[in-house]
Amino acid sequence: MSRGTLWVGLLLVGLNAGVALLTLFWLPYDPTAMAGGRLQPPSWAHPFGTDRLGQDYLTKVMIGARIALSVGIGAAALGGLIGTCLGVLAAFARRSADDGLAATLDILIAFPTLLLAMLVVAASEGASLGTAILAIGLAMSAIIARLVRILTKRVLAQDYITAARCSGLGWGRIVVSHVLPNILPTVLVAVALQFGLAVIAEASLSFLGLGTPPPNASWGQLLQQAQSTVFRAPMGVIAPGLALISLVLGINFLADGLRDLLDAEVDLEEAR
Amino acid sequence: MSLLRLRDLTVHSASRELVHGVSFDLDAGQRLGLVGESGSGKSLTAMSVMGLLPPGLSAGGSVLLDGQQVIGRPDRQMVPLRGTTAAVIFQDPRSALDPLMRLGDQLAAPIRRRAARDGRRLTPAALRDSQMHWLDRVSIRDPERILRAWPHEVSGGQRQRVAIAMALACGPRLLIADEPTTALDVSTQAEVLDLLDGLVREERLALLFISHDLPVVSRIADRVIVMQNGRAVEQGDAMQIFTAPRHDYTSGLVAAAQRLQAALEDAERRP
Repeated sequence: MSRGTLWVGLLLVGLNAGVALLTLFWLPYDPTAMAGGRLQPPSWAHPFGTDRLGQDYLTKVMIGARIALSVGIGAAALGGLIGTCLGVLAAFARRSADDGLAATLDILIAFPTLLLAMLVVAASEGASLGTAILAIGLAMSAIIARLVRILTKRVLAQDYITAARCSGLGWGRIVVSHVLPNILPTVLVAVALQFGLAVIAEASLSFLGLGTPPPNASWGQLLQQAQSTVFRAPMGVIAPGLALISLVLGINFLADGLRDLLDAEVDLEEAR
Repeated sequence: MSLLRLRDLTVHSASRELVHGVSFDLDAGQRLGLVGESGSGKSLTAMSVMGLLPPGLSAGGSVLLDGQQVIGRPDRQMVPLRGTTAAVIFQDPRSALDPLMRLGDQLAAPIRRRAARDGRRLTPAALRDSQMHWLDRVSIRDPERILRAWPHEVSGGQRQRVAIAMALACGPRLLIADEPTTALDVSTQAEVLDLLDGLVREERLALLFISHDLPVVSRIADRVIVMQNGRAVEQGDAMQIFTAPRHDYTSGLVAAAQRLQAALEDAERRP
């Protein structure tokens, strides 16, 4: 397997990240002001046309990249952190506590992310960026926790852990210096794959009106609004759709490339 | 007071008993060999001393390590004893070293812990001196390279030497060697055995040497306990066990070793 996927992934994610960073400093138009006629086709002044309120569509898609990436990064960080902590704890827990935690995780995983998100939104003040991150991050943490639990158990069964215990290392030090470094590569790839799913989950949430409120519209919301005018202004669906695909595809390529890279190292090590 | 005193040690799983009442004493400067086929309970006996039996197994009887009862002691209170009173060398240094940590960092860990225990402050220069000292003690020729290397980048013999250095750097008084030469090729085996022999003498350690290989054990140990199916079937002076075994099982082991030796010599004589 070549490094090609990794580079394509890096390029696509880099492009989206670049656009997202750019929106913090500069936007082509004010996202809340009328910039031209309603539902204009693409032109030099408005490369993606305008929406039914006459607002510039490129501006909206650019802001969408920022929302998608913030939710993705936030959820990945939250899910990765909670998942890793829970997983390591479960691996160390007494048999009964471990079984209980494993069952809870299975139930959480079986629960659809969207339903969980609706619960979180219903329990809080209303939909916002924070609720989206919390809901997706929680759903993700269950998947990561289950993986980390298995990985940790596998590492704990290794001789070098027994050797470390024989030399008088406490459990805390063993987790920090031996367990975490050894499970990290696999967890990293899993989190990267979950990142892509988180972006899609965020788009679905905002499509249902459970994501970030306007004017910081995410791609899912743009898709939902453009639904009724899809034949008069197809750009309204095509632009955010392509943007979503480019980011998710990029993240998955990146994760695949990363896995190949790490696998290659493992293969090399085992060959010796 | 012996450094290590086992009285009627038993190890059992949920359903059956695996080690049935092993007793012995071990003092500083003494070398005791535990011999037996795999599954005879010799490793379980050794790990009971460290309080590190595999999950699901429990020990009974009495194990006094430096006067402290190990059986039934909470794990948290075992931690200070491990490494400082007794340290272990394992069979396969490939799996006994963390694959994702440089050898230098792995060797630094016991040195730092020993310094912390003695209440000394360890400067980076002192740490490096100490690392070099221990690598020199285990006769590693290019210590600079070994310190920077990953475990998979060095040979099996070098890995085992680093593992021995790590065990000794804790400053133990009892060294438990669990089949330390089994995973090595024959010429490296002899080197590592000689090395262990010298180190144990110079550091005045007590040695508990575990192996299935009777000739190897008789070479390094003064006293030998032969184990079979979780029982100590014969116990005595290493020379006596090898030349005049009393128990059938031991004679079998000795005869097998002699047959192998004879076959090897025979093969050497024929061109």
